[in-house]
Amino acid sequence: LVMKDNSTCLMDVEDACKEAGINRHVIRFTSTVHLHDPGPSLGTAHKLHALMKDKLPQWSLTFTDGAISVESVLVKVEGEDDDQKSVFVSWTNQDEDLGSYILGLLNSMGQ
Amino acid sequence: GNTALECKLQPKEIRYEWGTLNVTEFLQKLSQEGIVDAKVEPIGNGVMIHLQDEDALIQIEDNCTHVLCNSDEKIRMQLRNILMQCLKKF
Repeated sequence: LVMKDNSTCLMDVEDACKEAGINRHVIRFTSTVHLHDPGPSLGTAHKLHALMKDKLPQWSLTFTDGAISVESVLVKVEGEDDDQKSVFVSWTNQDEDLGSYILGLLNSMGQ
Repeated sequence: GNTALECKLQPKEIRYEWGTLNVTEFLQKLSQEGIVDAKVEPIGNGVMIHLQDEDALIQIEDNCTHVLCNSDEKIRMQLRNILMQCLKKF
């Protein structure tokens, strides 16, 4: 909510920062989980997508080009046809609770 | 249980960081917390800090910081806390 010229309006954070001359500093985290899951990496991504849909029913998840995203959280699988897959989980600081929850979920799969 | 988790993931007041990270101050705080193996090298518009023992990389630019770790949450949370101390918030 921004007050400007004696009136108020709703702006998204990026626009409001530009308007006020504030230089936002974006913190992003990327953590890597190693999973033993033979087969193509797309198959692993599908399994992770199914698990996340199950655990996060109230969130809107998207699955594009083998990457899963929800809010600023991005989950990507690498290691084509290797038994061992590297799963990258990335999120911005504003989604810390969601990002660290998803990282914990994937970590528990790897154990 | 699940109830606690759902509560934790409910929307809440979100704060945003702003300003430029002072790399010298950040390194000082790292060493105060016992992280003394930081290797700093300039890259592009910023610096890359490599923490070999902690297996972590921190890429710092004027408007963004990227923390890359393995799945060790202890070190990531420690780095997050230090970063938050070094940046202004609204």
